[in-house]
Amino acid sequence: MTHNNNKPERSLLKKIWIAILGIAIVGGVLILALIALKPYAFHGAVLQSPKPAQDFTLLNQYGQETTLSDYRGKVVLLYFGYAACPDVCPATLAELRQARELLGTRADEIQVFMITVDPERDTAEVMAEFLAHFDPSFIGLIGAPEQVAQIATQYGIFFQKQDTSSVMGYLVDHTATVMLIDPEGYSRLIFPYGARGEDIAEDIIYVLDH
Amino acid sequence: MSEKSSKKFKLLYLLYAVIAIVVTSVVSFAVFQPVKVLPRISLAPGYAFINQDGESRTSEDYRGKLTLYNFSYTHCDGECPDTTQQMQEVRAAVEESAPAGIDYALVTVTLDPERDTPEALGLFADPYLGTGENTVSWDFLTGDPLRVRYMVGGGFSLFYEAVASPNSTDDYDIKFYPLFILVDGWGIIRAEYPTADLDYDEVLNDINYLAVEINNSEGAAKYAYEAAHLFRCYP
Repeated sequence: MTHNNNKPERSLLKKIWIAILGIAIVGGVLILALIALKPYAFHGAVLQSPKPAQDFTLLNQYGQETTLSDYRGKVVLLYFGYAACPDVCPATLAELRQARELLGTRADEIQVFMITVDPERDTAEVMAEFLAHFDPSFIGLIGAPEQVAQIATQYGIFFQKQDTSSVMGYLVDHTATVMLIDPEGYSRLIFPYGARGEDIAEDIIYVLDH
Repeated sequence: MSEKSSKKFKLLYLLYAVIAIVVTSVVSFAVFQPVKVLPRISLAPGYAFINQDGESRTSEDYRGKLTLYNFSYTHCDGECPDTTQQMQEVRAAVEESAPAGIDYALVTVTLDPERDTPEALGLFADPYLGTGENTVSWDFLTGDPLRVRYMVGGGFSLFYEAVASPNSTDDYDIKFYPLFILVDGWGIIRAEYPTADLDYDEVLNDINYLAVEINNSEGAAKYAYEAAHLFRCYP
């Protein structure tokens, strides 16, 4: 009788063990799947634009024509600023330099553009000297005021000359965001003013790898 | 079978049921997207214009606000699809029932900046703005015609053109299709309503989705919303 009573007990124990094992496997797979599915949380604001970023051709600080779409295959960081900018532009360019440095050997997979919102004063020479303070790879872009206004509008950038009594002459108010354009030419992220170089670098690496 | 073992079997079924529920909820989240998020369509244009009071208004003034844009002009009458009245209705609806703690703004952009000076816009806006105490700001914007073209035609992709008026030879009308655009505080276009007959409930629903997104954009909830974006856009 004891034998008969023990047998189902043992087989029940076996079933419980199998069940626990099953739960462990299913649970493990589920957790792995969730980790794999877990989206990368970008530091910048995400865009899902169905159209590629507007193309443009402007002159760089060496007097050469530079076209955005020639940089497909690279991540382009697009910024609008100007050389006489007292604080915001140097701070942002310093973060972009840091982001590029953090990429190490992959630094050549990105290109930083600064389009001037002060085309009257920012000649090729001025831009070359200004950008040399940050990173020799940065490209400064110069265009006719109306052309720059048209491009800036499309990229959500406003700019306006401010009368000021500063010895530097006038200032130019402008939107200080940085646009990330992915290797396929789509606007993917917007970084607000104050975004840190390491956060930008992290987002760049994710975009490059996905 | 003993009572003890039948209890254990019940426990087993319970465990299986729990697993089934977890799996089903994950799959259904992916498939049915219970967290609705509006797509982040594209960048709204940057601009620097003047409002009906002659004050400067730039795209930066609307950063951090949910802003609804419409497009019209002061000579818009007859067949012209003037949607300004509907903006007034939206304003009332938003003030009455949109979630609190979020800044809302309305912007009407003229498609006829040649004739629509700030003064003309002021007269046009007056009956709509009224004298009431409003929590939702409303600006009527005009500016350099070319810059307006860049903003409306380029940035918002709304085509408009001047055509000779049938009533007089030296007059003109602006031909355009009615359009409302909802822009979030990041300056990203989140919804477009190409209609002359705006569905206020739809707009309020969209505003509610954005409000939930804004209010939950920290910590774990941010993850939930990022996930919803992921499932929507990269299936």
